[in-house]
Amino acid sequence: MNKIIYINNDCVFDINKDETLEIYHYVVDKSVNIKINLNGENAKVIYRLSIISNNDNVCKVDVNHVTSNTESKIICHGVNTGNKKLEFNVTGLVSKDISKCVCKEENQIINLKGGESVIKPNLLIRNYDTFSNHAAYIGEFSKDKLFYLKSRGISDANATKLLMEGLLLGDGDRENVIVKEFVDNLKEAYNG
Amino acid sequence: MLSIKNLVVSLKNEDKKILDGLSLEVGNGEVHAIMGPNGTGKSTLSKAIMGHFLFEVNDGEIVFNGVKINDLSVDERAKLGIFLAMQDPTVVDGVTNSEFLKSAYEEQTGKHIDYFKFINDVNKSLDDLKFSRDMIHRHVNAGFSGGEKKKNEVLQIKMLKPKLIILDEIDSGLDVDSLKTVAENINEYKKENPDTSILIITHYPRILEMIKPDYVHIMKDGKIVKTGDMSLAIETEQVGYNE
Repeated sequence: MNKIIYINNDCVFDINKDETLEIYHYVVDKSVNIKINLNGENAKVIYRLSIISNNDNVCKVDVNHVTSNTESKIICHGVNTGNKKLEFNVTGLVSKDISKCVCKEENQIINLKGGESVIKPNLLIRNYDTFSNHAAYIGEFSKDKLFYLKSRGISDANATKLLMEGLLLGDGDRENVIVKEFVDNLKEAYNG
Repeated sequence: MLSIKNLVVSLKNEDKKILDGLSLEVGNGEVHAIMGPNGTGKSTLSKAIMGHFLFEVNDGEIVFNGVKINDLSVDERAKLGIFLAMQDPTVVDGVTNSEFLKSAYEEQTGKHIDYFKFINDVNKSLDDLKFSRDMIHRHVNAGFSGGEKKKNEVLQIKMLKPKLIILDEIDSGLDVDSLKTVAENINEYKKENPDTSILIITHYPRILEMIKPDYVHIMKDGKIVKTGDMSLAIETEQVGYNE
């Protein structure tokens, strides 16, 4: 069974045998606490967090591979619009007696101003028969991407806006009410 | 249209001059080609005209249609009508070609887009370029082949209608059929917009047989050392740059 859901609050997810859950999580300036348990064989999760942060916020995402043959892909993207701290603390757990799992995470925080950001990509893998990787980036938007957009006549402000939308909205359904609300907040963020 | 006088350019925070007193005059509607060995500053010239962040103009001036553009921002130069078709166009994940083109068009024209006309124009251009119509919904250059990236540059030219087109090694990485399609579309654009000037940067005369230059310049050590017509390009291919 495949399911796609959109959320804007903290949740605990229990994903059972043969279930695939795709989660789009849109957050505006608050901390996050998400727990995902992959409880049955062939349980899969793709979790995408998008956050605009203007104050001190911690985003904690824990994925527990409870059963063998389970898959997780965690993608956390944030834009730190202020001069406070945004932290991603993302943990994938595969215990010793659990095998043949895929456990991946990709984290990216863009600092628009002088904010301090931290990413803690934790892969607690106790079993050798696991495919696992992580990527983490903290910094500004790529100068090459900004140059390319601006070389077509797009102003610095609008180029930044396009890159913010690209990073945070990704392929989420822009007609979804949670996404629309997030887009409104995004507009406020780059307008001010 | 474009007047470059005694241009000296280096990498920011480095002393070594990449362009060392380069001068070039490109008139309205003229097609100029610049050839030269690797590392002689051809791409640097194109990027300096566009205002790339890696380079610093130490001396000289770049004047476009009577406006000195040395201190203008990148988007201001583009809004004046300068278009740099890049050798390796940048991938912009998350931003669709449609959003990108719409933003560029609206900023350049100062008008809201007419969606019906926009979609029609895009579809026609995509057909002309033998490009799948669904590319407009894909992210900018993401997962594109080398040929698709170059065609995407030409699509942008056709939609944004620049006055000066700089083609920085548009022929690199293109198969013969794609190169022909790209050249045909540039020629068609030039025919529809005869005042548009083109600056072609290339290593090979093949593209110059398809987009005929009025002038061919040979660059060496950061400056133009020889100017001629198409025969110079052919001669250079036969004898090399050192003769």
